[in-house]
Amino acid sequence: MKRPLQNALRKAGTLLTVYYAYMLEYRAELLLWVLSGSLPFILMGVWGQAAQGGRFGLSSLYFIRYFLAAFLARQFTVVWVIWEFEREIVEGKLSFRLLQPP
Amino acid sequence: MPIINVENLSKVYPVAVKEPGLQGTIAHFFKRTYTAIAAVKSVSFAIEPGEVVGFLGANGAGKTTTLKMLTGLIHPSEGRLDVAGYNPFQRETGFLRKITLVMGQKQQLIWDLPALDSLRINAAVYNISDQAFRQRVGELSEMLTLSDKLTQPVRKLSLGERMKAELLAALLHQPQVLFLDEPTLGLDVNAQVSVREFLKDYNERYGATVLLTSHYMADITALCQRVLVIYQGQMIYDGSLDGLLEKFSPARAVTVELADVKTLSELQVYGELSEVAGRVAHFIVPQEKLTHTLSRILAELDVVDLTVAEPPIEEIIGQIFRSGAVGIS
Repeated sequence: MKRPLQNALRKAGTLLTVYYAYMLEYRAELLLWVLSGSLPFILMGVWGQAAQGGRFGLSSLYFIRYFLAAFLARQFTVVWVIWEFEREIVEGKLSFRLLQPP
Repeated sequence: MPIINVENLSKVYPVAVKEPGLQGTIAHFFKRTYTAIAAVKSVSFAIEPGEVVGFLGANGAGKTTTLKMLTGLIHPSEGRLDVAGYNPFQRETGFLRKITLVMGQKQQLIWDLPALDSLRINAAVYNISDQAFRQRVGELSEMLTLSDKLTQPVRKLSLGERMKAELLAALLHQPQVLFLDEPTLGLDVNAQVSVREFLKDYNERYGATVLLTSHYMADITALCQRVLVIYQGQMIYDGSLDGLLEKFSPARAVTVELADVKTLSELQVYGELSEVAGRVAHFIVPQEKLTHTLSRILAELDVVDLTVAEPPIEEIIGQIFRSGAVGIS
C-alpha cells in the first residue's frame, strides 16, 4: 500500500512543481493577470469612498466585506479545465496523455 | 511469435456532411447527415520482435488511422489486434508501458519549459527512479547529441532539436514497440540523417520493434528491411523493399545527355519524362519497352551520353499512388 501512495505523491508533486514553473514562465503576463484579478479591490476603493461621502444605505464596511468576498469567490471559482481540455483534443495533445499509464 | 498481429482490421468513420450557407448551417444544427468513410479496409499483417517496418501510403491512405488503432487511441470497427500480448483498446497499464507513439506533427513536450521538465513528468508517470532517470537521459541525450539543449525552453529549440527531444521523451520508459508517424517531417537533411541514425542505433541496442510511416523514402531505405504499402485503406504490398521495386516497377531510369536542347514535346514521344535539365533528360521506361526505346533514342537523337539505372524509389512509389493500386497482393 505504501508504494502506490508514494508513487501518487511523487506524480502529484512533480506535476505541481512543473506546472507552477509553466505558470510563472511569462512574468509580464503574470502581472497583467494580477492586475485583472485585482479589479474587486479597485471597485472596493471607489465604492468605499462613495459610501463615506454620499447618502447610501450601506456603509463602507459593507462594501469592503462585499468586494473582499467577491475577490475570494473569483479566486476559487476560476476553471480553465474546459478551455484546456478542448484545446488538447483539438490540437491532438490528448492522445499523448491517453497513452500514459494511470 | 509476432509482437504485432493484425487480422482483418477495418475502421469506418461517420463523417457529418454540411451544405454551405445559412440554410445549410441551420439544417446541420438540427439534423446531421452522416456518410460512412472506410479509412482502413480489412488489413492484416504480423511483425516480429525487433523488426523495423516501413508503412507507406499517400495522404489519406489510412496509415495514421492504423497507427491509432494499434496504439489503442481509436477502436477498430472490425478485426482483431494484438500488440505485445495486449488488446490495445483496453489500454491496460502493462500495454501502455510497452509502447510509444511519436507524431511528427504533434508534440508532447511543454512548449514554454525546458525539455527536462517534461521529462521529469514522464519519469514520475512511468515510475522511473531518479537514478534510472539520470542514467537514461544521459544515455539517450548522448545518442541524440542533445545534452546541452535540455535546459533550454522547447520553443527556443530548432525543429530538429525539438524532434530529438520528443524522441527522448517518448523513449524514456524504454518501450518495446515504437510507433513513429512521420518522425522526420519538415526536418532539414542533416536533422533527418541524425534522427534516422538514432533510430537505427536504438533498434540495434535495445532490439525494439519499430513501425514507421514516412514520406521521405530515405527514411525507409535507411531503416526498413520490410515495407507495408497501404492504398485507399487496403494493403497492397507486404514484403521486402527490393520486392516492392520488382513488383511495382519493372522499369528503368534512362538518363540521356543530348548534343542540343530539345523541347518537351520532342522528348515526350520517347517515354515518360521524369525531369529535364538543359540538355539532360531523365526518362522512366518500362522494362519491356527498354530495348525498343533505347534503339529509337540512339537512332533519332544526337546522344552524347546515356545511362540506364534503377529508378529512384520516390518515383516508383509516386507512380504506384498516381496510377492506383497495381493489384492487391
